[in-house]
Amino acid sequence: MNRKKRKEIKSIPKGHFADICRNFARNKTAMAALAVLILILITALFADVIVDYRTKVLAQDPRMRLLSPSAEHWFGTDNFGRDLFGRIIHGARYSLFFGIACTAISLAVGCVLGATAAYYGGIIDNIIMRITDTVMCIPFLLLALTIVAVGGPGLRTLTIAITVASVPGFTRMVRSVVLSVVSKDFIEAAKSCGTKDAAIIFGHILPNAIGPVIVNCMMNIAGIIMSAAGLSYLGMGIQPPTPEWGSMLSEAMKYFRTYPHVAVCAGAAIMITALCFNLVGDGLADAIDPKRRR
Amino acid sequence: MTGDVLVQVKNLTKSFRTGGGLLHAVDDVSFEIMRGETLALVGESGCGKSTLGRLLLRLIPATSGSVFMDGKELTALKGEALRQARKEMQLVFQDPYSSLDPRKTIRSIISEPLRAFKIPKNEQETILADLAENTGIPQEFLNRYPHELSGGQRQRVGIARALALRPKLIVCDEPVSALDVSIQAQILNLLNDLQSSYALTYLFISHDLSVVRYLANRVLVMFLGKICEIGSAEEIFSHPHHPYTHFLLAATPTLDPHQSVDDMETLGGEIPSPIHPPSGCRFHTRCPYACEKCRTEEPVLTTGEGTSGYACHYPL
Repeated sequence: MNRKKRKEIKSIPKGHFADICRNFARNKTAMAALAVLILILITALFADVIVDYRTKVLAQDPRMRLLSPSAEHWFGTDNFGRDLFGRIIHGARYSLFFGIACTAISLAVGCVLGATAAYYGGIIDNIIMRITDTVMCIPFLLLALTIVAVGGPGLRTLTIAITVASVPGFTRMVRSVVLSVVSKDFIEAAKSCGTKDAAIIFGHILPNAIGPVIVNCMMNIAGIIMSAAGLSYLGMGIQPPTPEWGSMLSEAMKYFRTYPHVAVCAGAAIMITALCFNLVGDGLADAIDPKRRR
Repeated sequence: MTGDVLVQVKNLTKSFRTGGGLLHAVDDVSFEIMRGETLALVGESGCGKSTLGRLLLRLIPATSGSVFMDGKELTALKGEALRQARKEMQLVFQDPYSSLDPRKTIRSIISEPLRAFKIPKNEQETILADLAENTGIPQEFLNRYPHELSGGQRQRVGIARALALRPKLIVCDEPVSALDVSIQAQILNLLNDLQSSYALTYLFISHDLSVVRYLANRVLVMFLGKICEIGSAEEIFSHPHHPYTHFLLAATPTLDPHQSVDDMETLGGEIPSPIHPPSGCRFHTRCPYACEKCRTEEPVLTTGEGTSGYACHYPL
């Protein structure tokens, strides 16, 4: 115990980042979710090496249709005799692309708008937030559907549709987070200590605001993966034969009662990926906030 | 008390634009703070105490009027010159919970002003060790985070941070009102000790008169953005001139168990709106001695005997 105490006194606080990593590593659930996410990411990146796109994912073979899972076809085959495992891991590319790209773009736009509104206040705040409110009045899917209907289904329109629909949420979140941090006494204390504006923004406001923002991003990725799958399910997203989880699920529903494995595989892929992003987001929230650490 | 002036406030006014109109938080206030003294600023909630404290530190810009510190006009400073002037004056906050950044270690919080003014690393360590010792923060606390400390310990950290640059003036904005009574005494004693060892001047904002009686050399009583009365603590507590001061003192609870609340002299009514302050003397709507003159003519702060004065047509 004595040694432990001495260690505590001696240990010089390391960087904030190292601290967060150490705390995150202690959270078993989040670590497991992160491991699964990394696995999904790696299979998505090397999908071409693992399963050939042309011969296995797109080529149809009526003799092989709707086979149950086996050693040769891990997840079985679909109604066109295509290997489901191959289609799922190639489909991960689309889902991850939508999740990450749409979140990144809407976060960037939301940060600029939200921080501007919070910082300047007054008329600028009013204009930005009223537009945001107006857009938020339209249900997410309805707005995305309208944009897709105008632009025609496809990868690009779907990306634009989802991004536009999620910008207001980010704007509002960033604004509220920045507002709550700026009103704290320690910002005034930093000012009265003579800390420069840039140091206050990067040293105090950002570290205190980043937690909720990152957590929201993670949750948002999960939401976007599901929206993209949902739009594709409705036939407004990626079109077959491209292996997209949502459109695969949509097609598989026809055979759900007789060959449920096709729908289950596509559905599980969507669910597990979304769940893992949520769990990692939650784990990060705990790791970043010193008050939630044990 | 050498009688030499550290801070001089002249006709300081601050009004905020609100939905209902202009809110005069501080209205044409003039006074002086002597070097080495503790000037207590008392008044009820919303009378502009905290606003006045922040105006002195230039944390918020004044609408008009000026503040001089050591002959330098703070209200005229801008940018880097203002930043340099911040070395001379610091603030101790009321709430020890929101005044410390939850993501920084105690070491980093206390040394923030040192880093802001680029004091060399090795010097920082010595200053830090001294500060921790003088404010009663154990060495092993330095690597901890604020949430691991109690309210009293946090307040010590806030005080250490304020002392880091060896300022001349410290504005204490109700530094003990968020703490429980046993800790209040410790912090007050600490402030007292530090005043002599660091040659500090305090502007002590409080609504707790027993705390003020313990610490203050002089007392300034505010009502609705105006000064009612200013004078030595002794005089204010024994012979208040302004009726408001009188009722403020009378409202202090005593330890006498036989005295019921009904026996106490208390004021009726609410504090008037600072957006539409009453005409004449601002206190006339609640003052039992008010007459026609009070309703129409605003009393001027007398500057009779040296540093004391009161703003009342019919002083007690």
